[in-house]
Amino acid sequence: MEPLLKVNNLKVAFKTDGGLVKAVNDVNFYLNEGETLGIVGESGSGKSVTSMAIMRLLPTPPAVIDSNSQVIFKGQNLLKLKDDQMRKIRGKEIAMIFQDPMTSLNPVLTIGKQITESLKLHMHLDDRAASRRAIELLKLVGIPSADKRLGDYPHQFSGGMRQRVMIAMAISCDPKLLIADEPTTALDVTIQAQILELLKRLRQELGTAIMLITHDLGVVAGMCDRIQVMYAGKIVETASAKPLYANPRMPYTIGLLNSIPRLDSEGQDRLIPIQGLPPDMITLPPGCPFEPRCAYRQPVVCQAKVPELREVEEGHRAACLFDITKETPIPEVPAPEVVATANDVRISPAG
Amino acid sequence: MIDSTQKITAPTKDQKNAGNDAGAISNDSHSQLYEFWQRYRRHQMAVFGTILFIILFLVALLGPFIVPEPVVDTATMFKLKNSPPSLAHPFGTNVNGLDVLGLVVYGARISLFLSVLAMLVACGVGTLVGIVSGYFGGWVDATLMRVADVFLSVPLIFVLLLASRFLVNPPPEGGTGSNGVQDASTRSLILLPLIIGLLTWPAVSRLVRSVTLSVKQQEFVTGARAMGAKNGRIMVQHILPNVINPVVVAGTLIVGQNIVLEAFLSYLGYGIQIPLRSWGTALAQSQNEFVNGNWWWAFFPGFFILLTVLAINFIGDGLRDALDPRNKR
Repeated sequence: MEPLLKVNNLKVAFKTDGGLVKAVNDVNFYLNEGETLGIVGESGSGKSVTSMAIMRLLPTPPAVIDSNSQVIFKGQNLLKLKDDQMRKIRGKEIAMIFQDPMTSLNPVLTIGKQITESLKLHMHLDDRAASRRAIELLKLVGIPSADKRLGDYPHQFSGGMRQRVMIAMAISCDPKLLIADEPTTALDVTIQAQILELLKRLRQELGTAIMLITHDLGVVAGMCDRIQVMYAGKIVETASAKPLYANPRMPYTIGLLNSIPRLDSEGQDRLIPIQGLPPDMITLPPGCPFEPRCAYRQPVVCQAKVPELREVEEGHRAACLFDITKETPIPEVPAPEVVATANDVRISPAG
Repeated sequence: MIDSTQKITAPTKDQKNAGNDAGAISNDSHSQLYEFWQRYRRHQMAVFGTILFIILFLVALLGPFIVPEPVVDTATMFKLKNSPPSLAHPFGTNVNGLDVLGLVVYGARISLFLSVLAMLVACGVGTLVGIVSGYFGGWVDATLMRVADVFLSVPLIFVLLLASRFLVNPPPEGGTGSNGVQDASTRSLILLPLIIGLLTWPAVSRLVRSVTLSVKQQEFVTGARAMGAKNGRIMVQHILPNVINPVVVAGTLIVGQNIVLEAFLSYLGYGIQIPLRSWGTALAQSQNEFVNGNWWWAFFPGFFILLTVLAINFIGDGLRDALDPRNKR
């Protein structure tokens, strides 16, 4: 079956005074209908830029999307569509939820007006039908006495309630794909769980595919079918949720998992943070972008070659030149010599 | 039973006081207009200004039905000339024997109409240019803002000298006589607000542009685009409601400025043309008689100008405080 969304060779850069910031470097992935894909990475890893590029919401200039990049949605390349065709897809076929519910609702318009906007725009409903549907939607996302709250302004809602309203707006036209860009980051933990529960329920009821962008591995764990980890504008590991947590194969993912506090850890194990900072996106190193921070690094090999994503197990791909698992011992002193010879380095073409 | 209901209602009151974090607040004060009025009311000078302005507005609206129009009457002119305030003429008369009360009442109409019209022109053009300029940015912004600079740098007197050809009464020629006078006065009523409006819009457009620049960075604008809204729709639906408050405040204060500006222009003879009368034309030539002891001719129109501008500035201050979202509790 053809996937709902297929992103091929996506490259996005930003022109700045300091030079070209290469925010997304050759990203390839797909998303099936009804599937939930988690995209995880730290700030500046290119997660949000990827989602904005799919929606074509990046201002160009300064953003430059490579001409060979493709975003195939339902068989058509979104990057080649005319503006008015793209507007018909935004909100109707692909909808988006933003990070901060405090700023993503217009403070001077009523909730009802904002929910009905896209209904009128895409479904051409009249006022009465639109507000009937808006009440339905508010009930669906769990807002009590929905009919009375249509006339309320955003400042009369709490953060969690506003995020529910945002979700109601996003699902109003039955989109095939919902992009949630850090939907729970601005909320406190109990509300976070409620919102994730709501997204899960909606996915079951409506069959919408969800692209969940977050920096929180805990958020995606119970929610996503597949997870991909991004670092420095590249996908460095992708697998189904369980294998990724049970058996991470990329040193960066291992580092991320090690830096999460665990309730079941025995004794007084210290958290192991990842040392250093992400690379400068203007002058990317010629080798593996994670090499300077990597606990397992073999400088001579790692600095020479950018590791491609390769299959390490069925459906599990990682971008590392070595076969590293959680059990691989961390060398006390980074090895100055090459441990693996060139022949040991298996290379499989990225797909 | 009664005790238990009281226990239930008590926390909800606390919730109301606590503000927004309780989530669902369903008090009936949720109309923004009501909240605005609550905040406006606390500004005592603004309430005073509003009452004063309503009185002045009623004078302009209803006064002409009560007070006779001041027309030069050659029969009584010399008898009435420069008579001090009396029961028949509470504000006295001027050098032509015209009732100063009549001048003030009829002048109020024209002065207020003209100032408000000029303000609407300035706010309309200024808001449009400001939103477009701030929203699109880039070369659109640069071009529009340079145009605004040009308008700001044109001296008012220069424009008026050019426009005076159309504004000022032509010297009486053989046949055209009163028709020409009539034309010039109606022309001045339309042209003057246009000129004043076109010279004051850059200030509004700069204000609107700066607000637009900050509003367009907010996530709900990206959200509207992600929803498939066109630029025009985003500007009208999402940005305009956010810039309207500062425009209302600026517009109010501009009306005050315009009243003074109009008085100054009409006083010089470049403004409203007789037989139409404004507060400025009422003041014209009054300085000659001022030294001769006729203080009432200059005082009453001047006093009304002062009162109006004061009232409007109080209203503007009150609006600024009441509409500023940062003042919300």
